[in-house]
Amino acid sequence: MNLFNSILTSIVIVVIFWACAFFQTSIAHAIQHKEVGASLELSKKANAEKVKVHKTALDNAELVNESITKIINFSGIKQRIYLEDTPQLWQRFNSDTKIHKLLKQQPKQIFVTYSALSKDFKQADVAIGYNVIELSKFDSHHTIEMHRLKRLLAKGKYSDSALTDAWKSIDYNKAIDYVLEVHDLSNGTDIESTQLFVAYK
Amino acid sequence: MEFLSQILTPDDVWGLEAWIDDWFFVIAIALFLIECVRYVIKKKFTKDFFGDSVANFVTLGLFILIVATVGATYAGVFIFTYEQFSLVQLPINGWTILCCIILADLAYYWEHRFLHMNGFGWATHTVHHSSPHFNISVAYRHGPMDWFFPLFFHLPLALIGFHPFVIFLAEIVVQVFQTLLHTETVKKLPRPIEAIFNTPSHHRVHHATNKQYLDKNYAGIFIIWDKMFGTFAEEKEPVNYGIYPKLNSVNPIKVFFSGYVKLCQRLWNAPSWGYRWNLLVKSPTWAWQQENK
Repeated sequence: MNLFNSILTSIVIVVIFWACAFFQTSIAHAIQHKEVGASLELSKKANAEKVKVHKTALDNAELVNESITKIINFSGIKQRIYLEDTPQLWQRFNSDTKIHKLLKQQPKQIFVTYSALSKDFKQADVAIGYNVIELSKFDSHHTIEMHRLKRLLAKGKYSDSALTDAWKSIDYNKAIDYVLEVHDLSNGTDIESTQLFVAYK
Repeated sequence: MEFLSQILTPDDVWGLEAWIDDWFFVIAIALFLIECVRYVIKKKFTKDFFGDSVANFVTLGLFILIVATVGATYAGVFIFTYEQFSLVQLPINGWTILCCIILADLAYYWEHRFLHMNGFGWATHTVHHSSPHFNISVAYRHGPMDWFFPLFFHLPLALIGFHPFVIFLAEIVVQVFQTLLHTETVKKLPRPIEAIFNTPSHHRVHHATNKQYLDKNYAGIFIIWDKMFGTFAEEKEPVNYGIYPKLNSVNPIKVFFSGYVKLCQRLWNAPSWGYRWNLLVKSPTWAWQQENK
């Protein structure tokens, strides 16, 4: 191969491997959605079985298939607040231009975790953010281990009061690690549906 | 394969790079000592071998001094380019690191080929080739400007979105891989490995002065680059190591600056400006041929 063709071939190789590195996020995202979708489908079936047996409010909580150990990392803002101040934290997140500038594409989901809940359940460390695979860079991130999640609310559109009521399904006899809200977005901004999970220690 | 998708922070990558850098040197020294024992047994451990090996490590020390001076600037250029001009910013995870290693290896191939194809680049790279021996210590035989040229060949990786620390890690992996190739102890590896990877056999050819081996096997990790671009040669006959003209010195200072001293002498004694220009841009073989006409 002469020098010109060698350089040309090298450029093609660079484009191929750069594309692999670049589109891995989309591929991973697609796989992740498929797996989460599958896990929720499985949990739905599991829930149906449980409802038949127990018929209690708690039984509406669905167990996410424990064999799936998918990890989701998200990054955004985090603050220790009174839970009643959550709307203000959302406001801060929505107006945080720094994080929104780092989005590589229209975000598909927003993750919210409530961790380190105070004894009176009035305060928590609240983190709101996007999946890191949708961000070009980030300083720190929070990890969600899907297999640890117990579902409290199925995917759907809920009012704030319905979301608050769902917290009553939490088994407060167990030590809570965090409560997770997953908001699916349409057009990258509007919340289309929400799911609620809890992870016990 | 999930661990390859696990997001890493730049600090994780930096830590991994420092760990490889430090511990691999310890491993390389251990391997060199084993080689020395082998040479002793074969009665090939000569005074010249010892002097040459000492010179190799002294050039490494001089090189580290230079890198310590310019290293921050070197890293700064990458970070500035990445933060201000990068096309995208790729996520930092195992897949990205793997892609970066492959591309850094390709960049290394072209950098290495460039160093062999012009007088200015060869003046620093000739130091590495000037040893008449071939062992692990030769891998550490550096020239004064060896830090300079990689900048231009690896900076495009920052432009297309690889984080500078990922690029530095990839550069280290390519270097570390090559260090192990500087040995006569390993003859030939299994055929599939010889077909895809650079091996001690392929790299012996690269260090040869045998006519049919000149300017061949520039690869770092993957020999497939040479096979694709027509610069590959198979090791068939015994290799004679070194350069033309021979250096014949184990004085580390003389070794370290030999390339640029020789280039300056040639430029000073050149018959014309055109000849001087050719000394800088044409291959060292051209200069050697002119002097032996």
